[in-house]
Amino acid sequence: MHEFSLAKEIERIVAETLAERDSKLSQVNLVVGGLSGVLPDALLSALEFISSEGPLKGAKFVIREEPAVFTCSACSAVTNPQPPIFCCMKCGSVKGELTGGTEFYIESLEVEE
Amino acid sequence: MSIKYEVMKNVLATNRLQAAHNRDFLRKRKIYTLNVMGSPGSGKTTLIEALIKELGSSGKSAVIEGDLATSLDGERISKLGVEVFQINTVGACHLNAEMIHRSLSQMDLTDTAFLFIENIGNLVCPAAYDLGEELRMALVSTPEGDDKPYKYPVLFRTADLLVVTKADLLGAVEFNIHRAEDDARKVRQDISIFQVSAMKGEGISELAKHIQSQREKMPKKFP
Repeated sequence: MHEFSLAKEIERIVAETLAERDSKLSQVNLVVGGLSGVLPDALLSALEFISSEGPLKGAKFVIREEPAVFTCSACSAVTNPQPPIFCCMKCGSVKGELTGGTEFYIESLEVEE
Repeated sequence: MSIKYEVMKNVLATNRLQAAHNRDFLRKRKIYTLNVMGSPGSGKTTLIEALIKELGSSGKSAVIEGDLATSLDGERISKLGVEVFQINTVGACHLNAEMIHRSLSQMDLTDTAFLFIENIGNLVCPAAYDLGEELRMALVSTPEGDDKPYKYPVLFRTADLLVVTKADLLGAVEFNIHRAEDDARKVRQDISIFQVSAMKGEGISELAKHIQSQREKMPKKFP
């Protein structure tokens, strides 16, 4: 349910990035990790809702979802565990680190100039 | 002409920066800060009250109370004679670092050793927000069911400490403590687990001792 505040933060970052540029925003490319706690569908709805006016007006939003990545320190395998299980999908060890899945960032903006 | 600008900006970067600032402010004042998370009714306020009483001899406590509406919890805690700041989010489902920053600037934190931040009752959204705390404490009450750590892994994965509350009801409700503990460790291997009944005073002194020992290990400055 916090996707609305996240959409407002995206709007703020976009406005800041495009400040003093005479360009028309056409697309926002976002990356959302499976462990970020962000629901892509809810985020899209929030973005569509707030983009009827303001800095995001008329933009398209594309979300690339990234899976959880577990790097095993027992067998060195790099696998994609499915939450709620955070372990190596090859040898089953829980010793290791989550090396991906928590990301949530604006990758790029596409504009018409 | 169509142009692509690479941005690579974390959407939560501003919150992280503010959280780092809060952490620096609190560490410099030797204030050990706990982010208390759990469902509505899991016993967050009652546990905080019990811990304030138990920790009384080792230092003063202060509380930031987060609620959607009302100052009921804040009024309850202030009866203990500690500094309380009430935040009403008016619908927002979590606290963020900026709200904590604004609260800190309005509080009297002289000689404060422990700061409890009671987050909004929610097992989803608080997971994404660093507030500048030292310890993230997640509560599961026995009537809620033993499956909560498994069903809300994103939040429990961020928790340093799992507290099973209302432990006096074990036996009266269906709650397999071993399952809850095993699941919590699958979600986060190094999570510390405590069982308490704040109403009966059980397990509170062990938990308070743990918090005290963690405070002694707190870094003196940031980072």
